Amino acid sequence: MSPGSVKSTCRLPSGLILALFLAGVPAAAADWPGWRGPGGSGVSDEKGLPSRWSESENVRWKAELPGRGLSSPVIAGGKVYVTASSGVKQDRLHVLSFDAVTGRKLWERQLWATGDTQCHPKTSMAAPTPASDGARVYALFATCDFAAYDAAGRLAWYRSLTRDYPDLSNQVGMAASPVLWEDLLVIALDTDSAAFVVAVDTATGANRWKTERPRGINWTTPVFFRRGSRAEVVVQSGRGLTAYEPRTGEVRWVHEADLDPIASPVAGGEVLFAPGGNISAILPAAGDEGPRVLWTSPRIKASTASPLHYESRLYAIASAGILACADAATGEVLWQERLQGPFSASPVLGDGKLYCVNEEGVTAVVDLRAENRVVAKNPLGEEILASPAISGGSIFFRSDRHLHAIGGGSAQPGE
Amino acid sequence: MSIRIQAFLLCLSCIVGSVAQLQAEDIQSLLARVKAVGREGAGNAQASAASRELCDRGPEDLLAILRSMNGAGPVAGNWLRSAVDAIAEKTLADGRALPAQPLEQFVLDRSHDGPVRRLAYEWLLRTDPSASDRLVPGMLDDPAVELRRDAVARELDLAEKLLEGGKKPDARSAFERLLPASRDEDQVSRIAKRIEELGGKVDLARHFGFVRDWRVVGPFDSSGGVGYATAYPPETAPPDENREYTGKSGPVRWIEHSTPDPRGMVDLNKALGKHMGVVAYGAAKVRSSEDRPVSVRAGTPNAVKIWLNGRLIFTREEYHHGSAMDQHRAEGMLRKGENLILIKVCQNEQTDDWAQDWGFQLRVCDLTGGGLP
Repeated sequence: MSPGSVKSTCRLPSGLILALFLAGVPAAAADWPGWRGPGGSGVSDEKGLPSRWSESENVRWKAELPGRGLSSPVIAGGKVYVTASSGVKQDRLHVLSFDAVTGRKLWERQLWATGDTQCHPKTSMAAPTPASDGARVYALFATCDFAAYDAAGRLAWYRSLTRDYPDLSNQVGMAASPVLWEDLLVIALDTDSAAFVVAVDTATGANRWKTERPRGINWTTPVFFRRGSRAEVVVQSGRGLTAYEPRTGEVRWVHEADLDPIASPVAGGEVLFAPGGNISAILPAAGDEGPRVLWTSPRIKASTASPLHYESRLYAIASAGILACADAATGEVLWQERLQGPFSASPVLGDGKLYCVNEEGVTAVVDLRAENRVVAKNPLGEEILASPAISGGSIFFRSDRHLHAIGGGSAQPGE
Repeated sequence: MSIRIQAFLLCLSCIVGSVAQLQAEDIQSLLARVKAVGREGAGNAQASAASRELCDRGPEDLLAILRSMNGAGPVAGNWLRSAVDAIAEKTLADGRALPAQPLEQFVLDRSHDGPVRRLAYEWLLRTDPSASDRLVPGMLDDPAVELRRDAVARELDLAEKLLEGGKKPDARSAFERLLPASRDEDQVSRIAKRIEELGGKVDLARHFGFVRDWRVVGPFDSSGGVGYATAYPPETAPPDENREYTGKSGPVRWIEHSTPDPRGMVDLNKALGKHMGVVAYGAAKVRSSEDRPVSVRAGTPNAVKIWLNGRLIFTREEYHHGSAMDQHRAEGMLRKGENLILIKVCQNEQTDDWAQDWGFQLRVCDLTGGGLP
């Protein structure tokens, strides 16, 4: 809905008008509203992004964080939001807001964890990436605590999903991020003891629909996908892909396959690229025709990092640290680069450059237009497991201790 | 003072009093709307509006919100703590002070809920950093575990300094005095290690309240995972050593099993033999000198159910996602005399090397995590 169409609904109650307005306003160009940015693509439209930096060079600002996290920063309305978890038992959950330009901390809120805090030592309770529509930030934690704050840091709503659904438990640690769709937030909660996908109202946090899924541990984030006028939200798990109608939760189609429960699928054009042992290109079901595998390539593989689609090319980093570029139409591998891994963070792209940050915090900058593609290897001097974010000419990285804004001008830390 | 002025002041006082009362009523109404939240977002719309109003309040309302958090439960508690954080943060950002003395009184009043006292304490420190030295030494026996942890950490540092200074007997005495107060595993382990290095002995199982003497029975069939939902006879009748049950591969009986592990780990692969797709039960008696609330805490890589005196208090159908002390927690009531703990531990049929463990540890402790007297 455009703001113009809000005018035509002037007889609606003002609260509803505001809700409709907020739900319909697209994210501003510079926003990075959730995990892997606009549409979950990992791609930014911004130009003039940095190629070189270090711990001290080309750093716009650097802010301390109060705890651990694998969640990405998100940027909306000039604010950076990030989550963290701390405490001996990882039972303190933090949501923080920073001024995107200066790095000044605007507010910090805490929640007490109400769900399990047991997890693999590599992850933490701040693994899911929050989402923001500019009006609010929606922060989900691996404890299944889920809260929405307005831009000023006032709690808009809170849910303890493990109090609502006590069988939810993933003692390796949950990681799937919530995804915004108009006035809904869609979350896939797949565990061995309970599994479902649920859409909650962004204004109240109440369920709009909830659809049961086969039980089984899974960490992927849903992806919204549009084919023609039809929108679908697709959830990948080890058993395959399931597409849901975003307004009702009705299952539209199922593609059974041995797919990855960690790396998430990515949409490109009318095709979904689903990581498994190999990556498969899948044409979603339409009409009477079921989903169709267009190609599966053993030469392009994804590991923990999810693949990325950009301008008819598919990019993926295999467990050995091999970055491969394939023709998205055929799966034919066009080139490969050996990067220094391992990688937990998924790559992001902007200004014609692919940013691949490894677990040591070294970002390989791969210029897709250059002959020698790897144009820089930039260290940040600390472990980075979270996917970066791009906004306002800066690239944002978070570690367990810091939030870094790289490039895009200079400002004093904590200004 | 003229009669007119006195009358004016009286009216003014009445108006101010009425406004204050109105405001007090308002905040109670706001708090009630927040505390009315229910499952699956029920009441969120009403609570949301109240929450935003609470967040915009001033420091004079902090104590009312903190008091309202007592017994509010974890869901309403998180709603309300956001208001406390918002008010306190804004107050300090505006260059104003938080109400230090009322906050300190709140912290010291052990009738308030532990996490809420800790919240008050952390904001108190932001406005009066000296409160730490004043309050923490008196918190070694505090029912609020996070406050107690700070007190233990402080005394631990002092004991380490005695050791560094070569005063070994004094250091050992300090560590031994500190052990009964400590609750968190990392602190307990550090203290126990020091005591043993200095020639002392520590009974960790007793300190934590681990149950080490069990009767176990099994294996029962859980092919395809059916055993988790199947109520085998041990679930329906008290343990009877004279009774024989139909097990997965033949008749089975209750057998005595004691674990020497200081953290109470029972290895069912050793106690009952190596099996896959099976269920075992463990039963133990726990004596109490009085009726009392307790925390029952277990760790296992297997799916588990726990009963206390026949009442099911915990269930979790999850396999081989790690095992850690206290990963599963439930609360229950011990009655004076003898009590029966029953645990059901299910092993699945995964063939991976890392999926072969079948066992559990369980402790019965007070609500702070200390072993029972």
